[in-house]
Amino acid sequence: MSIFSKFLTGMSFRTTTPTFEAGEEIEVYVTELDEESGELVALVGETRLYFENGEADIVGCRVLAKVESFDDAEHRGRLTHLKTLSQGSF
Amino acid sequence: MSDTDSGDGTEIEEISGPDVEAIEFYGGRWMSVIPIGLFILWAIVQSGLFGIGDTTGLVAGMLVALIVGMFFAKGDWKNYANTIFDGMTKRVAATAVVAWLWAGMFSNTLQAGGFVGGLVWAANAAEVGGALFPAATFILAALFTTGIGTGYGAAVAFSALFFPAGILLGANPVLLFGAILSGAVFGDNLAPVSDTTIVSAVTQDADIGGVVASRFKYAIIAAVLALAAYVFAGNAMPGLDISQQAQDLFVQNSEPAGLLHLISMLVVIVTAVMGRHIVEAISWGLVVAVAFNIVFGLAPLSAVLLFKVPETSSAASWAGSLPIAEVVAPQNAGVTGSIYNGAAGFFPLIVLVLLIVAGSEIMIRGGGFEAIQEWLLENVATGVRKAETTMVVGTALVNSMITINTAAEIAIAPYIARIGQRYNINSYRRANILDANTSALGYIFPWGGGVLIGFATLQGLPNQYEWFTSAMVVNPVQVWPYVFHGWFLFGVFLLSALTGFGLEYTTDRKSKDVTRL
Repeated sequence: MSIFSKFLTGMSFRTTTPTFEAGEEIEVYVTELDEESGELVALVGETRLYFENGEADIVGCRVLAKVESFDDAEHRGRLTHLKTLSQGSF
Repeated sequence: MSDTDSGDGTEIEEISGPDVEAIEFYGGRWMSVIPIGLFILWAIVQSGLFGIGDTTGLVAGMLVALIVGMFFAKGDWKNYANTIFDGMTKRVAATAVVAWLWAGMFSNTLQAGGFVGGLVWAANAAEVGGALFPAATFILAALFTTGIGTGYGAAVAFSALFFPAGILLGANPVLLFGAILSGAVFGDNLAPVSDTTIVSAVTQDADIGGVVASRFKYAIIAAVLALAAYVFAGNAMPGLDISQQAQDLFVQNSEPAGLLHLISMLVVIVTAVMGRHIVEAISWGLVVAVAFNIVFGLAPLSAVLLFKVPETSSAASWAGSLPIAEVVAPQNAGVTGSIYNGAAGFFPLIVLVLLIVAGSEIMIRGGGFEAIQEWLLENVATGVRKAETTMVVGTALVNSMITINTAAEIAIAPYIARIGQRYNINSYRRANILDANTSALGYIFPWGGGVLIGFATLQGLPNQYEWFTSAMVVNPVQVWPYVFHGWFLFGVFLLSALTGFGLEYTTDRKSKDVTRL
């Protein structure tokens, strides 16, 4: 990223429901374990990304994940947990 | 540091921190809030009610709070005591401490080299009158604070030099004091060497250079609005009728050579933007500043470092011939100079911050932190817009209660991180929300540390100038509506939270290593 773009990034009004492409690798914090479905969830804004694998002890951790599928209309996606990178800041 | 298998064949890397042992409290997990809660109460009483802006007094408050909290802990108090140690040795605190020490040495060396005098000279050369003087003061205080990174230092320097000059030129005193505080807000928010910038970055896992670049857009929007407000108000609000020789004061304090330190500032800023380590970047700035002081005669080497050798010392006979030593009476012995004073100025704040982090650690292990967070997430921050608004208002509220803004920032930082990470709000955005509101609110309310430090400086002016009367001193209660940049910065972030302007997610871009600028 150039120095110029560092200053300009984010100069826009961002949606609460960002979208993703299948095959994309993303870093996300794991938000919670959904009690109803028993699946791990990462909220990106109000977009819900469900993990197809991973244990409950990574809730709150920053992980590398691959987007397997994404539904633009429902703002829902499915992820594969690839690697846990770090815990949250606190 | 431990590597753990996540159960699906992937490896957990960089999971840090010791094995934590929970602390149980009589009365439940909410009681673990006692150390931090008691400290906030102490801070409100000491600085808000009594008007005492003494950081060491807050250290005493945190010590008392930690002791009181211990009596509510169940079982062996050894666990409670060890938690204090664990908190105080956290990397987040250590990183801030290192940065403050370097930033303190640098800023003090610039002041020793007459940087403020150079800025005064520039204002004089530009023939700025009373109506425009507050606007010019805002710009120069903002530049100065951005260079040295300490709004408190700017509040002192500008209250001592710009305030009397502005009064003599016919500027409105309340507006002028507001402009000085606004400049302090701007620099505290934006400077890479600012303590609040450093804390906001390291607590949110963001690199300082990226944080500064990403917050520029918010700072400039607020600054342009504030500048326009100072120009308008400067023409609308009359000054005091003083027919004294304003030029005399300017000439007395003006030294254009001090402007050479703009290069020292640039060295730090450019090195920072190039992504070098914080210690390295500021060290280069310090080396250049010391060299300029000596080569261009801005300040002698003894202003940077001076050993005051007691005449009873066996080395007294030859030490006096050194450029960094002088022989003094035994009761005056010691070390001084900008390197010494710059670092020492942060000692009380360093101790306070370590103790506050310890208190936070007790609250985390006692469950109080989790309880507050659950309440916020379930009742307040129920969507990303509400979460961001909660972060903005929460930071502002804590800063309106704890008057040492860096201490307040550290106290609220874990909540900003947790709430923000829940919605995967980018670390830059979290750091920006945290720092902007910390910087703004710390210089607005009458009991704010920055306001009190400036006020204390103004109170000393009647002793310095014959024409300056006590009636010219601005009461902190008068100034809060006129800290325009602070209010606009808070407003920009409130609107940003409500509309999504500037919002970035963790998936949008990655921060670099947190310990790099």
